[in-house]
Formats: sequence, C-alpha cells, structure tokens
Amino acid sequence: MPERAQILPGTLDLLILKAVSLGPLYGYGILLRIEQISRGALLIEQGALYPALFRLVRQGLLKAHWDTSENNRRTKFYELTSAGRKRLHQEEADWNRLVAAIASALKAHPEES
Amino acid sequence: MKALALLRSFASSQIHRSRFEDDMDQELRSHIQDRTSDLVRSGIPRAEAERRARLDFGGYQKFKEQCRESVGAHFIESLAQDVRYALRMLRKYPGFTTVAILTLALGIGANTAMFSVVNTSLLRPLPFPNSSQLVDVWARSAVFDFPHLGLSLPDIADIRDQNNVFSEIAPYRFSGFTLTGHGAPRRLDGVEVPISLFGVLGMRPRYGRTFTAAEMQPGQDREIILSSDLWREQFGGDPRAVGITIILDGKPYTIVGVMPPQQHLDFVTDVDYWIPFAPTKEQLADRSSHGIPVIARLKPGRTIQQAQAELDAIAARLQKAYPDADKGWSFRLASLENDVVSDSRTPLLILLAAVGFVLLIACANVGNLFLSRGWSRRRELGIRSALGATRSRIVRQLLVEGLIVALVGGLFGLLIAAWGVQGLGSLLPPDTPRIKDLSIDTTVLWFTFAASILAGLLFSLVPATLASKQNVNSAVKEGGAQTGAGAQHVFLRQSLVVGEVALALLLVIGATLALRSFAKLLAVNIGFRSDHLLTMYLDFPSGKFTKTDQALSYIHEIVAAVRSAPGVQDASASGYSPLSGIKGETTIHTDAMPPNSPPAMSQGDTAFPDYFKTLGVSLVAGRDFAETDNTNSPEVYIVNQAFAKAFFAGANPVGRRLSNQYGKNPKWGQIVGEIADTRDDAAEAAPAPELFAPVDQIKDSGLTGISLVVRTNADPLSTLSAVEDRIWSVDKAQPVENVASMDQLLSKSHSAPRFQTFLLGVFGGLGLLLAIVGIYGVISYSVAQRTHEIGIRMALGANPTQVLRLVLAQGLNLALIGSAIGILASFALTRLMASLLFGVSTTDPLTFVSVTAVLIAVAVAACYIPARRAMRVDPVSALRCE
Repeated sequence: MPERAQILPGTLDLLILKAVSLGPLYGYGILLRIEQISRGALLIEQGALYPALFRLVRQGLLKAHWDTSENNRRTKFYELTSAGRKRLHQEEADWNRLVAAIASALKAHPEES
Repeated sequence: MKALALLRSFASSQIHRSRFEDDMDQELRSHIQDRTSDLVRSGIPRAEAERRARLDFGGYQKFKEQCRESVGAHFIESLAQDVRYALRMLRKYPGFTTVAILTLALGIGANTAMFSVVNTSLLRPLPFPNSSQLVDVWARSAVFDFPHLGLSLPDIADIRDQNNVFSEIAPYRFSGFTLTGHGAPRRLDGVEVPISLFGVLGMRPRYGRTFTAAEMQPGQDREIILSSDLWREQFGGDPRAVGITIILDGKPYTIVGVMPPQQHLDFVTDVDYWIPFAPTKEQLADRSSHGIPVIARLKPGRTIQQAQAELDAIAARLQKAYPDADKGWSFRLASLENDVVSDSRTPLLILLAAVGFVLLIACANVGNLFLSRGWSRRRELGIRSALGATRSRIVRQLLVEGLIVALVGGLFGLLIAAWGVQGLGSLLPPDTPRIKDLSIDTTVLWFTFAASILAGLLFSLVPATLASKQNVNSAVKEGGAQTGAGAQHVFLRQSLVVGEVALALLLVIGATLALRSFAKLLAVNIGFRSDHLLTMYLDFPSGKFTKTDQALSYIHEIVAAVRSAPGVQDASASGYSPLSGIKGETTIHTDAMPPNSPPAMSQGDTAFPDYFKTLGVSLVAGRDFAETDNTNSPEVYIVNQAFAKAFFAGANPVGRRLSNQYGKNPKWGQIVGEIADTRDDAAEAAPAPELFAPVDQIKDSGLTGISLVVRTNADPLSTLSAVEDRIWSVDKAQPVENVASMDQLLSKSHSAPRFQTFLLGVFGGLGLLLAIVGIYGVISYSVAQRTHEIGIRMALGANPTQVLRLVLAQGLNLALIGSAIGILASFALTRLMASLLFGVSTTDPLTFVSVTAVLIAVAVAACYIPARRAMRVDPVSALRCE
C-alpha cells in the first residue's frame, strides 16, 4: 500500500472537478475516481466529499440531476458546467505553476543561492 | 391577500426543505451502502464491512450540517432558532427587556415625531409636477431694500421674449374682495392669474373649468374659480355652485370652477379664489410700476445659475434702454422650494439634530444594559461555545436579541410618535409650511424602521463582539464569581457614560440658551400696553368711496361710533394693524439731509388722533395729532425715537422739517411729536425708524381700509359684539376682519421661539434624565461588582466615609470628563443655532458654567445612592460570598 498524503485544503474542489470532467458521476463514483486517478495516494474523509459537492453546485461549477444508476437505484449524478470546465483549466494551470515553483525551490542547493 | 401569499410561500419552502433533507439523506446513505458492498465484495464479513464503511465516511451528522450550510439552507433555519432563543431570553429577564424597550421607544418615538414634521414641511416635494423646475422671479432695487419686490409688466414681456431658459412665465397679482349677499359680509383673499399659471402648477379644477383666452381681456374678466374651502363654507360643497353669480365689491362674478383642496403653503395655490389676470393697456405699458410677482418654469436641464445669468444680462439691457424706469433694478431668482420653506428649515433641522442626540443617549444606555448582561451571561455563552457554537454564531445570537429589542422599541416608538405628532401639530408655529398636512407616511415608517435597526446595531454590536471574545475556559471555570469585570468591559461602559454626559450637556446647554433667549424676548419692552386692547381691520371694497373726503368722514363716523360703545375706554385708527407683520415703507427727505441727496427709507404709517394714547405709547416730545390736522392745514408728522436717532442724531426732532413724498417737487411738512419706540413688528428686531402722518391728511383716493385699536374696560374679546354693533350701525355691509386681542397677537408672534424653546427643553430634559440613569446604572453596577474589593478594603481598616468618597470620585470623574467633552462640543455646535437666539450669545458663559455645574452636581447625586450601598457593605458577608 503506497504512503497516503493528507489532502491540502482547497484542493478537494480541484480533484472533484477533475474527476467529473471525465464524465457524469454519482458521489461514491467520484470518490472511487479520485482514488483511482491519484492511485490511492490521497487520504480524504469520505463524507467531506458531499459539502464540497453541494458548494460546487451552488457556485454553478457543477450541475446535478437524479437518474437511475447501473444497479437500478435512484442516484444523484454530477457533471461539469462550462463555468466548471473553465475553472478546472484555470486551477490546473495555477496548480502546475505552484508545483513547479515549489519543486524548483526545493531542488535549489544552498551554494546556488 | 398578501398574508395568504406569504403563507403559501412559507408552506412551499417547508415542503421543499423536507424534500431537500430526504434527498440529502438518500445520497449520503447510498454512498455508505455502495462502500459496504464494495468491502463485502473484497471478502470482508458484512457486519465488519458496515462498520468500516461508516468509519471511513466520518461524522454523518456533521457532514449533513455542512451540506446544509453549503447551500445556505442552514442560515434561515438557524436564524429562526436565534429568534426563538432570543425571545426566550428576553422573556426570562422582563425587567431588563422592559427598561431597554421603553428607553428605545422614547428615543425612537421622539425622533419619529420630529422627523414627520421635517418630512412634511421640508422633505416632501411640493405638490406640483417637476416642482424642482419652478422658480420665483423677484425684482431687486438699489433703493428699496425688500426681498420680494415685483416686476413691471413691460419688463416681464421683455424677459419672455429674450430669455432662453424658461419654458413658461406666469405673472400674477394678489387681489382682495368683499363678498356680500351671502350672510355676513366676508373679506376674501385671492389671486389674479393668467391661464398658464394653472398649467405651470398642474392645477385642475374639481368642478367646472379654468379660464378661456377670451376671459383674459379687461371687461371680460368677471369669472371666478373658488377654492375648496370657500366653496364648502359658502356653498355647502354643492357642485351646482358652478354657474352661480356672486357679488364681489359690488360687481357680479360668475363661478366657472371649483378647485380641489390645496396644501397649506402660503402661496398662490392656497387662497380663497382665482380670477383672470387681465391688465389694461395702460398697465401693460407702465414700465415704472414694479409690482408683479412672477412664477416661471425652467426648461429641462437648465439650472437656476444659468437662468440668473441670463436675467442679469436682460436687466443690464433694460437699465440701459429705459433709464427712467429701470435704473437700479435687476432680477433675482429663487427656487420655489426654497422660498416656501426658507424660514422653517434651520429651526426644524436643529430640533431634529437635538432629538437625534437624545436617541444616541438612549442607545448608550441600552448598550450599557447589554454590556452588563453580556458580562453576567458569559458563563452561558462560554458553555455554548464549548458545545461548538462558532464566534460568529454567538455574535449573531446577541445581535438578534438586540435587533428584536430595537424593533419592538421602534414599534412602541411609533405609537408614541402617532400621539406626539398630534401634539406637535398644535404646538408648531402656524406659519410652518404644510403643517395642516402633518402625518406619518411611508417615508416616516421607513425612517422609524431604519432608526430602529441602526439603533439596534449601535447598542448591541460592540457588547456582542466583546461577549463572544472571551476565553471559553476561564468563563466556564470562573463559575460566575464576581472577581472584577474585564478591563475592556469597564472601559467601554465608562466611555458610554462619558459620551452620554457630553451629549446631555450639549442638549441642556442648547435648551438653556433657548430658554434664556425666550425670557429676554418676553422681557422686551414692547412700548405699548397689550392688555385690554382689541384690534381689527375694516376693509373698504374698491369703489366704496369715490372721493377721499367720503372715506375720511366715514372713518370719523366709525371711530366716533366705536368710542361710544359700552365698555370701550378709547378707540382710534391707523393704516396698518400693530403686530400684523405688515409695514409700509416710504422714501423721505429731512432738513438734516443735504439738498438733492437721494431719498432715505423709513417705515411709514398713518394715525388717527389719540392713536398713541389708545395703544399706550408714550409721547416723548411735542404733541399728538389733533382733529385740526387735516387737508386744510399744513402737513404734520410724528416720528419715533429710532427715527430721531437715525436722521437727527438723536436730537429733538420736534419742529424739524420732513417730506415723505417722492418726485420732483416734494411738499414739506413739520414734525410735531416724537413717540417712544415700539416693537410692534418683531420683538427680536431692533426698532426701525418710523414716521406717522395724520389719517386726515391722506390725499390719494386709494384708501383701502383702516385698522382699529380699541382699549376696553373688560376682556377685549367680550367687548367685540358691542363694537361690531356700533360699526354695523354706521354701515351694515362693512366686513370686520382679523379680529384679535393684542395679547393674542403678541402670543402668536412668539409662537416660533416658544415652540423651539419648549421642544429643546423637552429634549434636553429627556437627555439629562437618560444620562443620569446611565451614570447611576454604571456606578451601582460597579459597586455590585466591587463588593468583594470593598469588603477587603473595609476589613483592612477603610472607614465608610472613605468608601463613600471612593465611589463618588468614580462618578465625579466620569461626569467631569463627559462635561469637558460636552463643553467643547457645545462651543462647536451652539453657533449653528445663532439665528434662533435673541439677546443671548451662543457661548453665553453664564449658561455654560451654570449648566455644567448643575449637571455635575446631579450626576454625583445619582452616584450617592449606590455609594450609600457600598458604605453599608458588611466585610464578613462580602468576603464569604466568594
């Protein structure tokens, strides 16, 4: 089992947007998708997913509708809105910039500074 | 209907809410089910899988709560919870709640009542379409110093042709008639108006029509439109009055219309009647009689400044083109809105500010109550925050309590205001614009609502933040022990009291200044005896006399008849009624002025023999007019002391020569008497130079009426019917107008300062009372808090006197600091009321010192009661109560 990292505050939204960007999903499916795309390296309290989902819906980044799932249960599906897609791209770019900056800062050797 | 819709929307929100809850529940539960089946599939026993799934999910209720917060559903619900809780808390402490609500009700009620006056008189737009475009056009003369001079008709025509700023120009002329043939003869005041005036002011008749162009010709102008009041009083409100012919000044006029009721504005819209303005050809050509007031409407987008600039240019051209008639004349524009409210604005705004200070003091008091309660509730709040309430939640809880108190206080305040507005209505000076329309309208309701909310935030925000800031541990641990209040608390409470004292001092100083000024006003020597004096005006309908002689002998007959009435000591006549506010002005030359010098101005009037004796004005030098001073004898004059001072450097004027005639070869006369100055115009104004000519030497035939003064033995008004009988024995058709006792007139002339003084006194008293209650509350609370400390001091040997001094010193300190700030504020602010004061400086040292001393004394006295309590502290029980 790989070592698991505590999720950074504020990144859960980004992960949800990323997970949903690949197609409409219901709550538990989003959790599985996140575990899958992070290869199980991220640790989140599962219930925390839902306040985040409700918030993203209210912000207009996601839209939700009720439908029947593969196992024939009434399930709430989430999908990305165009505003959500825009936000995802922007956050991805921001995130990559941040990671690159921190990574290069950590790589720096004392004598170079 | 509205309530039903509200109910329906509430019900639907409740249904939606439960659906939202169900959905959320289902969504979260199915997550756990999915998880469980996944785990079961991976080979874990079902019971263990269910446990693991729930564990992985985390706090089920917590996340549900967070979900609700995420969509905002939470807010309303928890707010309702706060309200319920607040109501429970307020009910639990009825004493606290009652005091807070009553204090606020007083403050908000007084503010609402005062604001409704300001709203009615100053804020409500004038009842005319686009009233901000309406302007008065007045003339200004280099010679006559009058604010409201009229224009000449040719000048008006030139303005109409040459301007580019007015969309409409409507000249008008005041008119007066005696109505006969409808009960007792009645004097009516009206206006001659062009057709356009009704359009400019948006006036439409209720019955009938306005005038036609054909009726605007001399000779065709015998049509009249009645005011609603006149129509109701004389024709019983019968629409069939339209078409009837009535007799005015002996001539028939046909009623063509009746106007709806108009607002009380002291303006051309609120008169008895309107008739066509039909100047003759001669009047239209007469450029030198400047006497026609004008109302104009600015074109859209034009400002008063632009219009004034254009009028200045036109005036300059007219002065050059017609030097004989227009030299020294220019035009002055004033917005109609300003003209209507000008005199009332400053006093009303000052009163509004004063009553606003009262509300601030009330807020400080209630704020103090909340502070002390926040302190005694810190254990409860501590427990709540230990149980997970966030700080903002606690602040909100306390704010909700404050706002509920404020809104309930505002509601009671509205009741107080509804009652107070009626009182104010009868108290307001009668010339306050639109006073008859005084009412509480939606603007006032919004004001009350806003004032309540603002007051609620003011007095509860700081205590709430402070109460929420405390440390949970210490609050709960302390267990409510009285170990001295937090330093911040003490500081805040004391600052509030200091502020209260400062505001109260400001209010009381303002009230005292007004009171002293009013006392001085009453003490002014008016120069005549106002008791047992009856005044009235006899109007002569135009055409009543064809020759002056007829008018003069008629006046003699009337005066002689009145003098013989039972109960009458003396009677005489003059041109203008004393204290009527109307004065004639005349140009004069005296022998003290170099020949050919420009004329000077003086007030001018006419008097009948024994006029001064009847009034009780003392003769300083010379003699009174005699029956022999008439058209056959040389011109004589009587002047007042101010006249002698102004034109003869105070020397005896008797025997000096004087002319009050304007023109090339004025006739000169002699001054035969000097009288003491009277203040029969306005007591607060310095006496103006005034001259009198004998009624019997009046030459022009335009004698339009005479004012009678009657000295009576008994109450003047009880003698009225005897006097009227005698007048009507001379002429049955003679209207008797403006009947009043001189004391009534005097009291009326004091109505504005009396009103201001009364209200400032009430506000000052209220402010003082609240501030005293505030300082008492803080000191007694602090004594209660310090019982333990005082007990220790006494156990260590302090005697009761030292304890008393300790407590009084604390109160004195607060009063001193507050007074210092209050005095500074008063210095800065009382000068705004300079125009309200008479004979008292706005920084009158006597007032400042005595009021401050009294306030400090009262404040210390208020501390005496808690100080006595402190003295009686029993050290043993004080220490045990730990």
